[in-house]
Amino acid sequence: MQEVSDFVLFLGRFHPLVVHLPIGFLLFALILEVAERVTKNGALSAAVPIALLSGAISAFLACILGYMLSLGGGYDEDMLNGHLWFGVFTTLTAFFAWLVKSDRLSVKFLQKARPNMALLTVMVVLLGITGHYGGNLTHGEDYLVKYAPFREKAEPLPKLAKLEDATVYPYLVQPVFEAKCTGCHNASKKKGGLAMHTFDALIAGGEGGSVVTPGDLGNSELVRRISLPQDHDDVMPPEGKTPLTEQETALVKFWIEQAQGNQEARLGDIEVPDEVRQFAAAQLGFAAEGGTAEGAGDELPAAVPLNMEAVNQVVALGFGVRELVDGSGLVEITLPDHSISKANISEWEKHFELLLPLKDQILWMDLGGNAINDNLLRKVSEFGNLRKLVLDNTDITDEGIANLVNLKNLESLNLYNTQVSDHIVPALAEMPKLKKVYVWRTKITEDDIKGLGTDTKLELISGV
Amino acid sequence: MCDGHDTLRSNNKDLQEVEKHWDRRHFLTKTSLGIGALALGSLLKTEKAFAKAGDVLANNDPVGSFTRNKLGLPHHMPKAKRIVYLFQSGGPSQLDMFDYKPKLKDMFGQDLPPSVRQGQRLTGMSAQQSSFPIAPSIMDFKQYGESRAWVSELLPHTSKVVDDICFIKSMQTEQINHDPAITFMQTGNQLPGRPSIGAWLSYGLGSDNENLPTFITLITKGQGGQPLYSRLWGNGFLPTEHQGVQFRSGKDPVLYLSDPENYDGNDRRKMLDYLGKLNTLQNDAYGDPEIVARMKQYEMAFRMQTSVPEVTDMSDEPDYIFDMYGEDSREPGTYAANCLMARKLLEKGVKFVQLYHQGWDQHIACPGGVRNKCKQTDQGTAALLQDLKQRGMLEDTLVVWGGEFGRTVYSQGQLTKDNYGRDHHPKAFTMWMAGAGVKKGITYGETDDFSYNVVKDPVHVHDFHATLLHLFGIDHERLTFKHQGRRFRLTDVHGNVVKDLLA
Repeated sequence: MQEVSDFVLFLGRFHPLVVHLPIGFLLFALILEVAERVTKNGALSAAVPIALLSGAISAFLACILGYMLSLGGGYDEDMLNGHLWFGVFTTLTAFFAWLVKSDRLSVKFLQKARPNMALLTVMVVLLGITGHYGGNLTHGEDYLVKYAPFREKAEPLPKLAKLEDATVYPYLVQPVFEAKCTGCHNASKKKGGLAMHTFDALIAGGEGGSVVTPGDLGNSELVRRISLPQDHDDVMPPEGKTPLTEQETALVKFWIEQAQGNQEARLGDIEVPDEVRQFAAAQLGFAAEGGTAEGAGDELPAAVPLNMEAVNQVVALGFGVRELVDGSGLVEITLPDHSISKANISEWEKHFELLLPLKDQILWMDLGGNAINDNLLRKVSEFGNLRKLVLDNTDITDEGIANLVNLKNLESLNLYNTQVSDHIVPALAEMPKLKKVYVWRTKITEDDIKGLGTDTKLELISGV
Repeated sequence: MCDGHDTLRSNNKDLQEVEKHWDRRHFLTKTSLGIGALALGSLLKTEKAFAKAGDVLANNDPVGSFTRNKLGLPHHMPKAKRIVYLFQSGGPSQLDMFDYKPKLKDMFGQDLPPSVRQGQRLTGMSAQQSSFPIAPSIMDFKQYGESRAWVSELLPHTSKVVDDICFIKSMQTEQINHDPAITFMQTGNQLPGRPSIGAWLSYGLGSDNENLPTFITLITKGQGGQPLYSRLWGNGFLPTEHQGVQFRSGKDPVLYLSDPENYDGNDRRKMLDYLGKLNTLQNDAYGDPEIVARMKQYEMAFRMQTSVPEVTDMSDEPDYIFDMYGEDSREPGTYAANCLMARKLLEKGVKFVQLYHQGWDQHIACPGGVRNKCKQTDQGTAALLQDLKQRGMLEDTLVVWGGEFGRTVYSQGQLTKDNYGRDHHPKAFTMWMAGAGVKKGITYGETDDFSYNVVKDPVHVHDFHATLLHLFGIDHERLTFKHQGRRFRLTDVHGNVVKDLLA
């Protein structure tokens, strides 16, 4: 392959950006032309040459940039040629249409055939074909119609009776590739010469040779690429694309090393590490094996981007907001001690309203050391995803705790040094996930704790 | 005169003369260093090298701000929010405290079989001995709690809280002498220069209370024994503000924090503001991240003028708390007082509190020595655990207890019925963890009948570090810092998370 300068490739990457300009301009020229005929508004006609010229020039630019982009390689030759030549024709037609429309050129034999309409229609059809080729190059051939209603769906893999029957490659590995790799490594777009949409294509390898060496992780380029640190130039999927998760990487490694990188190996035939087994079970819809009750409690709400406006608002009020897992949108809210006093508590009732936009994303909340009363606590009962709630050294009483029963996900509740008494125990017992309640220096006594018995998941923790 | 220079000119005529000379030199320096500065800029993260000092300070998340780490941390859901590491410096004897070896009673005085030692290197202190007589512990061991953990008579308080503890009896290190071993344990490498665990955590996770340092070190006063160096809580190549701040034992934990007599706090503020301006000029000219670090430290010290006296004031602690921690806790600088202080610091949002207690180096007179050390530390340790638990903090505070290595089963020097010495032993020793995300009431790993080799589930120092970071939501392989052309980690290229320890 010839050496292409980085700068050319840099410019080439602007092709997808510029390419939408002629699409818009040229379509708009046709729309104007039609509108003129329908409304008989001659003024519209005057705009058509402008639209055509802009379209033609931007199409020309797109062609140049597109050619630069194609020098980077990795595209299906036939499809690329189709895209290129149809693009060139579209551009030429646009120039031609502009010349005709602006009366710089008159073509005799066209005069009778409503020259502009005909030319513009041809041009837009060419445009459509070019665009279709371009789309296929970028997204893969079956992208457009994959979910089309009329399309015959690929036969789904037969349902499995048990996890052991799953063949590693088709059931587990291929779906990972499809989710993370085949966007750029498919039949029509073979980045680096590699396609991964089928087993055979994968084994055939890419420009640099084979990417999978059965039983040998160290010599499998695929493994190297997906295991590189995120900021490495060679990492796959490249920067900006979603990387493989830890479990997915482990699975691919397992497939190459233990399952010998073939199509036939079944989970039941090989020793499967726990990590892979759990992942496989989750992927194929089998109940996780060996999962403990604690493990189940760790299911987190799906990641939702944070409403930064709401975050900034509450931060300005003095709340601390910390993201628990980077990018998850799940947060811990803390309020420094003595932020709320008896004097300013009415203001804080309004402040708590501002937390509501974040309410499903708050998992931990620490309000200890503040003059929280039962009334304010009612607001907290709306945060249904809370896992951990710290209310030590506050002014809450039994009444306030009764309102917390809505917190179905609460696992830990800290009530140390408050006025609560053993009356809250039934309410606590109702909360399905609650495991630990800290009741040191409350009215709850050691006897109350003993009276709770041992057949409950609830643990009341006191102290000296 | 050039306008831009006004800001750096003094009002004093004589000084201005000096400054003109300085300017010429300054010009030469700048032109020659300019290239270096450019190179520096590309070595460091550009945002750091070229950001104005003011911007950097503004980025300094005050409490109450939204914290999203630019490093992409935490990687997964954390269990621990803070940690207290009770470092027992010198090498506590696992044989006399936790690792019960009843079979040794019948082997009193016999030579340690070479099949056990397997030619392992010894220290210069016992390598020349003509024999290695087995010295069974004279301590009485019992099982405690529901977890039936073995603990010796030396630890009456710890034995009451064993159900909250996860004992690791199969710790292994690579170093046999104090200095490299303690450096290895605290920084992941035996050579000085790497960041300590606390510095990594501070760098990776930031602060929970901007009025106090993220990482604080407390050392029991007057213990002697093996020296401790500030590199053990140092920042290595990480930005300077991540180093641990040592609180001195005694009544003034941080020197020079209080203003001199008749010096108004407002003057201090003004002084710092002017200093800040000068430093900003300097930073704009050179972009040295150390300038920003220094500015941050000045601001931190200013805030500490109020926050430190507040947190170190023990007068609001009730008597029953002092009773819990023991009589020692009323005297500042003792281990028990430091344990109590640690709790107060953790309550205030300090992420990492590191205690050191020296003197666990019983080459001779081991039974008496260990007995003495246990007496100094046992009650404070157990009370801290209990105190964190009753406040609901143990579920997100990690407590770590341990030294840099263990001690030998054979006696260093003369063995008598009730006395023996023990030399350093890196191949097997006991540590324990408790709290945040750690299984409680378990004993992990096993040693052979001599407490000499690990026979089941070894935990290397790197594994311990990896597990510790894991509890904070950090993948130890992904918390890296590029320095001298390559990325460094706490665990370097080693370490596996010990999943069996995780709750």
